[in-house]
Amino acid sequence: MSMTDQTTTAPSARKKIDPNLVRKRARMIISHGLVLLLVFIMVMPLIYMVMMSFKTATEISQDPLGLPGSLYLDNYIRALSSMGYVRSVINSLGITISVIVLVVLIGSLAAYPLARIESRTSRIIVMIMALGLATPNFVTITPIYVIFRDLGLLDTYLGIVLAFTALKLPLAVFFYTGFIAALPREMEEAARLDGCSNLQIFWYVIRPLLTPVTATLALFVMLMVWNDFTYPLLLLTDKDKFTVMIAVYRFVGATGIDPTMLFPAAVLGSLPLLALFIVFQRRIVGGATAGAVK
Amino acid sequence: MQILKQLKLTTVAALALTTATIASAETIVLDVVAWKGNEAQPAGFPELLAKFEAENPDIDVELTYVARKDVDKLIPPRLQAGTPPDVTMVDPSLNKLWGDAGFLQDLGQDSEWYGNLKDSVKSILARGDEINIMPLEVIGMGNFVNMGILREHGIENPPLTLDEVVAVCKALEGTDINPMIFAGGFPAMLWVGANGMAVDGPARGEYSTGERKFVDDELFNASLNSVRTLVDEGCFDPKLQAGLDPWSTALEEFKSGRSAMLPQGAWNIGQFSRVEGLDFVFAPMPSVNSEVGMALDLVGPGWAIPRDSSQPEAAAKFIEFFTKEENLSVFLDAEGAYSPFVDAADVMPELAASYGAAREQDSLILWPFSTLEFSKTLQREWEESLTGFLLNLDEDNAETLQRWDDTVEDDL
Repeated sequence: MSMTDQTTTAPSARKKIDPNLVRKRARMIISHGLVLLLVFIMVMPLIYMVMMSFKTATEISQDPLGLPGSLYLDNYIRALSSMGYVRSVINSLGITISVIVLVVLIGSLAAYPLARIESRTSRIIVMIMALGLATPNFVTITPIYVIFRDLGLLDTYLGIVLAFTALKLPLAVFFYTGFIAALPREMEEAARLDGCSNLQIFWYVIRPLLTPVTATLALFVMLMVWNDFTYPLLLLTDKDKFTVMIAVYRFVGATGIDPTMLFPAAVLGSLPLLALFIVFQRRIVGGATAGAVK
Repeated sequence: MQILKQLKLTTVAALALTTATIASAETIVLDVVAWKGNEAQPAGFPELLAKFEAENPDIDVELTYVARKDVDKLIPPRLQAGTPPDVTMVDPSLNKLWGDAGFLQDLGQDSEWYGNLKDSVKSILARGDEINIMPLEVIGMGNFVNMGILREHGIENPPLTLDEVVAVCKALEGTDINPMIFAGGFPAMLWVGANGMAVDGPARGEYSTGERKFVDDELFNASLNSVRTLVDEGCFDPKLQAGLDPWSTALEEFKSGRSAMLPQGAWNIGQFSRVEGLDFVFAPMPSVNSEVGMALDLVGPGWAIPRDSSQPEAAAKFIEFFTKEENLSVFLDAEGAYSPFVDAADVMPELAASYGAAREQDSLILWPFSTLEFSKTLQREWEESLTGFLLNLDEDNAETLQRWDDTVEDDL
């Protein structure tokens, strides 16, 4: 190779191995790899649960980490037959949706004045609400039970919905107060000049701006209410009113578990929640990220 | 004619509806709460409840499963509010706690079944001249041994002493079999209990009153040393075992046939028996204090009627039903347990013969955590400290045993 050849090929070779590009690509590969690894770690228990649900008892005990030999559906048939599945899912859906609606509505309505009226009373109320978040479950369980007994709300859908609403309201007020306090007041002042009442300002100006925080809150409340079995077990006695998590709970023994029943029941128990998330995925993610970039 | 026919049909329908309404109005719904009887641990309840309802057509039993750990949280509000279940499962600690608080009805020491209770059980459960619990079982805790593995390596009998366990571990050296599952929580407690207590040793009450200290006790010091011997002889890897869940992973591990021994309760006999090809026996705990192994009996749960039960008569019938041997034996058979009554038929399977033999030779200790000689807080301390002990075997025994003494002192 001549000297001339070398000088003519050198710039293009340098172009091919641009160190900035290499660094950028390396960074991208590493970050993508890390994200994939994190996703794998998070999804692994779910994959394991689904895999186990299709295994026979022998497969589970002899090769707990292996893939199922075939899709053994008997586990699902047995779990379904003893869960009262459809009824309990309808109950869970009804209770969860009612609680979300009430918590969002009451929480946002309560938070608006608390965020806007700057007084010691408002601050004290917000602090009391925050205390509600820190109060352990077992402290409130007896008073709630006794109050609901006196109100005749035991073993009623209304009772369980109100109990969950009361328990999740502090969280909602906490979420909304912080968010509303950070919103600029100019739009509200303009609306007031146009003759809007406080309620109209809330409904037409503030409420649309709450979409991101509402999406996040709804997701939180949905997960908490759906997965809770303590309050349904305490306040409901009629089996027809039981939620799906109580049905799953029946498969956990005091001194052991039957994996061939527990895993399919757990899959069935979380399936409606997953379906809901997939259906509303765009709205939830869109809502949660809206306003993130100004 | 057509009108007459319609009238007749309407009358018949109305009559049928009225009869059905009256029948349903007469049916008593008995609200029963238990931590057995669910899909994971049926305990013969589906069969027994169907039989009870057939014998008592006016009673409809509604059994609600509440795990034992959740009973402490969910039932007290109902007891305090005066709307408890009609019948609830209690264990000796709940019997004492709720009985002392006056939440439970006296079932009467003049009843026939109370007269038939074993004295050892009576002395634990009776509260003065009251009895608030009808005990259902006394259940063994011992060592599950995979005899298929042992026979393959020339051992014909389950190990009953420390030396015999070491011999098993030696025989399995170099194979892909794990000689022993020694999960930090429950199995470790059983080992340390079986080797730290002797039939003719100090009374358990001496420890819980602070009269005798664990830290100075020769037996308990020797017991912790025996754990070190097991580790030194390659019976298990303490760091791996410390974090193993005794209630799920450990059981699955034994069922897989890759482990030779597992200290656990006899309530697992049923589920282990359903595993195809698992050739196992339920033996007493190997012990340095007995040549025939140590049987550890746990006084199990029973039924109680809350003071404010809305159906006390139906509840009493329900309890009476379980006192009959033909009914109780169904439960005992499903549980792998002994009857709390004298002269009751032994329904334990042949695979628990060596455990039964140890009991017959009086190599038996009533588990002090079930007799309330040791407190619940001490039980938690045992579990936690033994997990810590497995993670640091070089630590002096006093570090572990002093924690137990401190807990006893706090309890006092």
